[in-house]
Amino acid sequence: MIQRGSLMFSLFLAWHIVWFTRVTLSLILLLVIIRRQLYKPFPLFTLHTAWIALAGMGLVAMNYAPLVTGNQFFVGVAVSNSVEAILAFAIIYQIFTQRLRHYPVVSDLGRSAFRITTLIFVVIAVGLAWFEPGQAPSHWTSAYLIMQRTARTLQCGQLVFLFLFCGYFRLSWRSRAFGIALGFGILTSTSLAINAIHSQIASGRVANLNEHFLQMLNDSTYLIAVLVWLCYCLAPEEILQRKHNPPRDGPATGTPFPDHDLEPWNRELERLLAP
Amino acid sequence: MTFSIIIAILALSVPVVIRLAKGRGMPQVEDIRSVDLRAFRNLTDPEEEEYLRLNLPSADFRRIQRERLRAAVEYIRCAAFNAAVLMRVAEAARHSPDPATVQAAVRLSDNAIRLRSYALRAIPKLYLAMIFPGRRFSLARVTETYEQMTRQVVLLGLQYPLGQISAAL
Repeated sequence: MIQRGSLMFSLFLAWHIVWFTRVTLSLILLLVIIRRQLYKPFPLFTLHTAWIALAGMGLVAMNYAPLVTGNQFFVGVAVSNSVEAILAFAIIYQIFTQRLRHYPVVSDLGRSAFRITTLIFVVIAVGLAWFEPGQAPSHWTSAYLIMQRTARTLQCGQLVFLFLFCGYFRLSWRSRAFGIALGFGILTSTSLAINAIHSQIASGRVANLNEHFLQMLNDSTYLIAVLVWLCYCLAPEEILQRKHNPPRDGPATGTPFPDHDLEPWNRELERLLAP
Repeated sequence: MTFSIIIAILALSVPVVIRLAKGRGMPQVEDIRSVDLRAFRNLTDPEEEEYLRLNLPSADFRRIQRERLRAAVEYIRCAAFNAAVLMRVAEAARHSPDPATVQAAVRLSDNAIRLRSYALRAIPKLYLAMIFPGRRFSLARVTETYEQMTRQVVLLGLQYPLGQISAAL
């Protein structure tokens, strides 16, 4: 039983506030996506948002339903997070293939490198699960934590690859796609770190206190990710695109071009075409 | 736990660093560095290497060959940097209302990507050759793509001059 006025009660309260805010903002995000018709370019992200909003509401309802047992709530959380993780994988892959579609020359290399990276991180994740199974009060909790850590490790690896690949080849990001990937970066990385700490916590009163703190941290990160997505969805795409392609660099912007100076160009062509 | 946290920090920091780099301002056309293709060809010419091998004492050859390869790496780095700047030029030109400019921009961006891809593979190979100076390597494709890309910048510039890019190349 948590006593009023205790540190644990404060944490418990703060966690619930963050949790409810996150669910409410997820719903708002879903409405923004529908209103701005963003489900057309980002169908999987829409599905993901719908899922986190509805599953979040479901879990809030389960939390207050007197008939729902602790085990049933745990199953609800596990199902909610598993579906979310599957959708996150699909979204990361979709964002990557959408980037590659505009650059066919790097498409094959990108896909192969993505597969290799995934394979490497599968090995890392399985290795971590094998050598660092962690501590959990029950077999099911332990299995769930390992599964979640494996999924998050893989997602982190794929996201790092995605950002590095696009960064190295200077593949242009549509601002919203970058925002979605950034949100997932925040979400998966923090979730992985929390999961790693969580799996090492011993049982007892301190563990309960830490657990509340970690839950609050997890939901706060989720809240930040939802806020990032919301900001990118609300920002007009044209302005952000212009920000990515500054006007000083090229003919697309309609700025006056320097005077034609054909002579140096011809000399250059002669030099280049010479055997 | 430590390893998981390292991966998590990486996943969080990479997009943030990319975003910050964009905010600080990416390299501009004026930042394009001069790359002497002929000098690069000479540095990576197998015949030149063979000549040096035959005419120099073994220790001297290894030292000189390492220096030559280090210089070749610098040339490739410069070419890859130029390709990155040109990629931005091509990206901007891709939104042009003129189809010919768009086509030229697509070709330019394709070649810039290709060059960066070759550079990614060539640099480790050159480092390997520095460790084993006698080892043979072929960089003909890097040279070829760089030439092809330079020609396309010229074509793009003929339609819409982009400063002195090709002169620098």
